[in-house]
Amino acid sequence: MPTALVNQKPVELEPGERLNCIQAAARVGVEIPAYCWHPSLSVVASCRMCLVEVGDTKPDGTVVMQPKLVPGCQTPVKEGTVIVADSEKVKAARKATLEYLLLNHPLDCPVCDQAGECFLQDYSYRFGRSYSRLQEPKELKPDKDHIGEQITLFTDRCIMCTRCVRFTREISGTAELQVINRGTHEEIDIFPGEPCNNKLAGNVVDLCPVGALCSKDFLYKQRVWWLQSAKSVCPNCSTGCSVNVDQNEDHVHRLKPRDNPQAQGSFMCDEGRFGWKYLQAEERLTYPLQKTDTTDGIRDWTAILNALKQTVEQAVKKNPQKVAAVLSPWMTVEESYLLASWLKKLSSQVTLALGPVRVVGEDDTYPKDIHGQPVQPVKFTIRAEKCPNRRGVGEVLQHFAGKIKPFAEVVSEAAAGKYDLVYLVGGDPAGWIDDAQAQAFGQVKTLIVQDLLPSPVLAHASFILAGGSFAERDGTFVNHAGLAQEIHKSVRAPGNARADNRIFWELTGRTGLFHAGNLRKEIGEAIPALAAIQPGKLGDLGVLLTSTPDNAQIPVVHA
Amino acid sequence: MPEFEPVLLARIHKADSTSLEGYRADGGYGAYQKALGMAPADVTKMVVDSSLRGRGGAGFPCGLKWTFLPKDHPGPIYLAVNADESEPGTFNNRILMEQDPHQLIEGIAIACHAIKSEKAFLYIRYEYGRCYRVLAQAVQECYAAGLLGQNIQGTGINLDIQLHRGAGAYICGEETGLIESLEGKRAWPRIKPPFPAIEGLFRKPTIVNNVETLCCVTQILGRGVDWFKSMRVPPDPKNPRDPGSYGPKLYCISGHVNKPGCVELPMGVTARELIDVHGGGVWKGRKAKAVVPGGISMGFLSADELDTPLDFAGPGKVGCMGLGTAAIVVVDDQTSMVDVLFNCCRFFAHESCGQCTPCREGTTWMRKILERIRGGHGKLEDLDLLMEVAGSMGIIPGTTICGLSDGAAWPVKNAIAKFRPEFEEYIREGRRSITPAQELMATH
Amino acid sequence: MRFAEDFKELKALTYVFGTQKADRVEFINFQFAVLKNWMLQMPVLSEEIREQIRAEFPNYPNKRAVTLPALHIVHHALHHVSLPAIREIAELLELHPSEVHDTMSFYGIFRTEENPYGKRRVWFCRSISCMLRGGEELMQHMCEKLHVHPGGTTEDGRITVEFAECLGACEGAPCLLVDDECHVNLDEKSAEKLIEELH
Repeated sequence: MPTALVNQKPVELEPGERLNCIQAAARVGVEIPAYCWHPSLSVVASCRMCLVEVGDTKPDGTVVMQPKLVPGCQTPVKEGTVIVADSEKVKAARKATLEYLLLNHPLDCPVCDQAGECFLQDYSYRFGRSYSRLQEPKELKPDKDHIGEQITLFTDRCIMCTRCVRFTREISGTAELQVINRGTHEEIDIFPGEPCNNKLAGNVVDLCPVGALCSKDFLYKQRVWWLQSAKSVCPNCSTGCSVNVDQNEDHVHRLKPRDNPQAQGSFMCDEGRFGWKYLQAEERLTYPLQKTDTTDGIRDWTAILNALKQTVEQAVKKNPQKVAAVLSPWMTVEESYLLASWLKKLSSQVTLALGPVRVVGEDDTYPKDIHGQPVQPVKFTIRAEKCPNRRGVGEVLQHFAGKIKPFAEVVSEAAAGKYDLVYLVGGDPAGWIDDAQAQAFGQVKTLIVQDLLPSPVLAHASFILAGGSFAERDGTFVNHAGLAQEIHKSVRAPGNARADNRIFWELTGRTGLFHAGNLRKEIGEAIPALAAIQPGKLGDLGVLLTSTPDNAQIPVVHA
Repeated sequence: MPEFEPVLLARIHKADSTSLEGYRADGGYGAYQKALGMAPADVTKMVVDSSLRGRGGAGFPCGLKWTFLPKDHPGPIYLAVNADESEPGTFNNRILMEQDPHQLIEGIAIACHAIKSEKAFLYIRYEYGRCYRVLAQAVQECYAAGLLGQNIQGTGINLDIQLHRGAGAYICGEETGLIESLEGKRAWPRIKPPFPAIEGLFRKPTIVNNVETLCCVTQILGRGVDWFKSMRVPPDPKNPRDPGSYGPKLYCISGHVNKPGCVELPMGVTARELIDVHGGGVWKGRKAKAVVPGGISMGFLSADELDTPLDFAGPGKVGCMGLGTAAIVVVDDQTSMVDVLFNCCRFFAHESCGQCTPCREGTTWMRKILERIRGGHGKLEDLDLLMEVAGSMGIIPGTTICGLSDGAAWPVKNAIAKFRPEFEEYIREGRRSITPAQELMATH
Repeated sequence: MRFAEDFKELKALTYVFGTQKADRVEFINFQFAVLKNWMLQMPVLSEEIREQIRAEFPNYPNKRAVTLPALHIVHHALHHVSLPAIREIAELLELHPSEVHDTMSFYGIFRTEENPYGKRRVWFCRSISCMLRGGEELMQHMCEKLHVHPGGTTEDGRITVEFAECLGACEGAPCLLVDDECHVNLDEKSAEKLIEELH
C-alpha cells in the first residue's frame, strides 16, 4: 500500500485512491485548516489557509522539499509524498492569512449567528494572532436581505471563499449567486430579481464558514453552544439524508445535513431542512384517547394499552380474517416489526398492509442546466417518494405477510365491511388519508388510529394513540437504496404523546424498556433481508442491506 | 559603439508601414513561406535553439513552452496572443501593433504552424483602440490575400485570427487570467497545474505568447538562429539555471527624461546608457534618484545601481524582481519616493483581482498605510509592517495564485530597503503630500 | 409582438367608451397606459444589436465566450448596460443573468443604467509615468473646468471624465484617451482645447 508522511506520521493510501493533503492529513488526525476547499465542490485554492510544505521521497530515500509553500487542497498525495504542516513557515503563513482575513472583518461575534461554530473564530484562536495591526478604516459593505427567501447576507463578514457561488453553479446549477466588483470591493450578490430560492438554497448557509450567509429561519434564535445535536435521518423523502437535529430545552431549532457519502453526500434539500415545523404545531395530538360514553373518555396510557391489547387479542380469537393492520412507511423498522410479529403470532391470518406512499411528481435531480433540465452527473436528488422507510416496512411486511398489500385495497375492503378491527398507523405530517378514505373506515367496528396530527379518520376511531415524530424516537429508516440508518430521539413528544416504539413495546407485551440496538439483533436474525442490522449499532453512516429486488411494484398514492 | 540597426522597429517610421503591400515590398511573409515549407517540429526546434525568452515579463523560454503541448493531440490547439500590455511604463507592444501589424501577424502564423493551431485569439486591451483598428484592417487584408483562412496558399493549412477586446483589467495580462477573460468570465487566474499548454482556453491545449515575442519569432525564421544569438548576454556559468539573454530587445523609456520613447537594442544595455544616450538625459538638468527597471512590478534601481545590465539576469542581482517588460521609468531627485511608492501601491490595489486572500487584502492594506503616511500620520513601525506584508505575498513564497502579488510587493520591498532614510525622514517630519487630485480619486 | 394584441384590445374598447368629453379624457389616459405598458415589455436590445451579437457566435467555440463582445456591442450603442439588457444578453448566450452580470462588474469600463456615460468619454492616465509628468494635476484641472468629479458627466451630457491606469502612451506623458483615440504630450491649454472641441 502506498504510504505518505504527514508531520512524520505515516498515512496509508488505498491503491488508486486520490487524496489531497487535507484528506491525507485528516486520516492521521492532523487538521489542515481550510475555507474554500470542500469535498463536494471544485478546487480553487483561493483562501490560502491550507498552505503546507510538501516534498517527495527519492528512490534513494532522501526527501526533497519544494522551496515554496503549496496549497494542500490542490496537491495530490502519492507514494513517498512528505507533508509538513507544523513548521514555522507554515505557522507564519497561517498567521498571515488569518490577519488578512480579519483586516476588514467586522467585530460582530457578539451578534453573529455563527459564533460557536465559526471557522474564523476557531482558526484564529488556534493559528492566528491575538491582536490586529490594522490602523486604517475598514471597507464597509451593506447587508443584503434580498439574497433569498430563506437567506440573508451580512456582506462585510464574507471572506470570499466562494463556496456559496460554486454551490449554485456546480451542485444546484441554478447560478443565482455571483461575485460582483473586483479586488477588495468584491461582494457576494444575486442578479436583481433572481433571488437564491432553488430547492437546495439552504445549503449555502451551511457551506459559509463564517456568519456572512445566514438562515432567516434560524437568525438570532439560538446560540449554538446551547444546542444539543442528535444524529438522525430526515424523514421527508426516500433519499434519507443524514442530519443533525439541533434542539435546546426540548425545542427543535434547526436541522443540518450530516456528511454521509453512502446516503446523500454533504447536503440536504430545503423541504427537509425547513419542513419540520409540524413538530411544534398546535394541532399535535398530545394525549391518547379511548372513546367511551363519557365526554372525556379514558386518557390514561396504561389503561388504554391494556384495554387495547385485550380488544385486539379477542378480535383475533373471534375471527382473525376480520382483523387488519396498516403499517405506515413513516414507521421505523423496529416499530413495524413489533406490530407485525405480534399480530402474526396471534394468528397468521391477520391482514397486514402498507400505508399510503405519497409520491409528488418525479425525482428531482440536480444540477440543472440553463433551461432547467437536469444534467449528468447527478449531484443531488430530491426523491418523489415522500416517506422515509417504505423499504424497511416493506421488508417486514414481505417477511410476515409474504406480500405487500397496498393501502387502497384495505380501504375498499373496509368500505365493503370486511373488517371488524383495523389498526391504522399514520405518521405522515402532510396528511395520508382523505375524507372519502376515512369514510370507508367508518364501517369498522373497532378502529385504532395511531398518529401525531389530526386527520379525518379520527372521527371514526375508538382508540386514538398520540404518537411521536421522527425527532422523538429511536429506530431505523431504510432509504431508497437500501441504506439502513439509525434515527435518534432528540426531544420529548409534546404533552402526553409517546414515541411510537414505546407504544408498541408495551402494547405487544414486551418487558423492560425499548432498546433499538437489542431489538435489531432480534430482527436481523428473524428477517434475512434485514440481516445487515443484526450487529445492533449501525454506525454514523448506516449499513447497506444486502440487495433484494426492490419492492417497487407497490402501488403508490399520488398527491 | 556602432549604432545598432533596429530590426523589430525597422519599419515603424515608413509611410506605408501598416499595409500588406508595404510589408510585402519589404520582404514580408517570406519567413512564413519558409516556415510553411518546414515540418512544425522543425520550426519549434528553431525557436528552441534561438533561446528566445518570452518578452511579456516572465522570461520563460518560448520554444520550450511550445514543446509542453501534448503530442498527437486531436485538437483544437489554440494560440492566445497577449496584447493586454498594461504594466505601467510599458508601451512597446502598442508601437509594434500600431506601426507594423503584419510583423505580428506573420509571427502568429508561424507560431500556429509550429504548434499546429488553426485558431489564434488576439486579446487586445480595451484602451488600445487604434491598435484594434489597425490590426483589424491588417487581418482583413490577409484574408483577402489568402494568407489567412482555409487552405492557405494551397498548403491545406487553415488559420483564423480572432480579435478580442479587453475591458479594462490589468490581470488579463496574466496568461490564465487572459484565458478566463476570453472565455467570458471574470479574469480570475487559474491554479496551476494544469498549465495552459495541457489545459488552457476552453480546456484545450493553449500557448499564450506576448506580442514582442511573436515579432521575434518572425525575425528568427527570417534571419536565422545565428543572427538572433549573435546578440547575447551569455548565461552565468555559476548559475546552471540561467538560460542567458538573447536577441534584440525593445526598451521603453519614460518619466523624467528629455526624450521618452522606445528603442531597440541588444540585451544587456544599462539604465544609465538608456537614460543618457537614448533618453536625452534626466530632464531639467536634474539627477536620477531611482529608476524602475522593467515596469513597476520589478521594483526600483537606486542611483548607484544604474550600471546594472538590463538583461534577464541583471536586475535580479541588485534585488529587483527581474527584467519584466524592460520598461524603465526615471524618477528625478526632486521627487519623493513616498509619492512614487504610493502610486505603485494604488495601482496594484485597484487591479488586484481579489481571488486570493493575501493579494486582495494585502494590496489594499499597503495602499492605506501609504495613504496614512502621506497624510502626515505615519509611524516608523509602518515601514517594518510594510516590509512584512510585502514579504508574505506572492508566488515566490507560494502564498498566492499568480504573480500580481509579487509585482505589488516588490516596489514596496525595494523602496523601503533602498530608500529607507528618505521614508524615515518623511515620517519623522510628519510631512503631508496628498494632492487635491488624489483626493478627488480617493477610495480607488 | 404584444402591441398587435394590445391594439386590438384598444380598438375593441373604443366602442365601450362613449363620446362624452369626460369619457374621451379617460380614454386618452387609457391609451397612454397601454402604450407605456407596451414599451416596458419591449425588448431593450434592438434587432440590429442582436444581429451583431449573433454574428459573433461562429467566432468562438461556445456562446459564453461572446460575453465580452456582447457587452461591448451593447455598451457602445447605448452608453450603458442596463439590467434588462443583461437579461437579454444572457438569454441570447444561454447563460444565467448572474453569469453575465458578474463578468461585467469585474471590468473597469462598463456603465450601468444609473450612470451612463456621456457623448464622449475622456480618460486621464494616473499611473507612474503620467503622474511624474503632471497627469494627475491635469485631470484635476479639467475636472474643475468641467465642474465634474472623476466618473462624472457634464451637465449637458457631453463629456464624461474618468481616470485610467497606464494607457500605454508613456512616451507622450501626460496623455489622455478620448473614446478610442489617445492624445499625448498634453498641457492644460492643449487639453482644454481638445476637450472643448469634442462633440
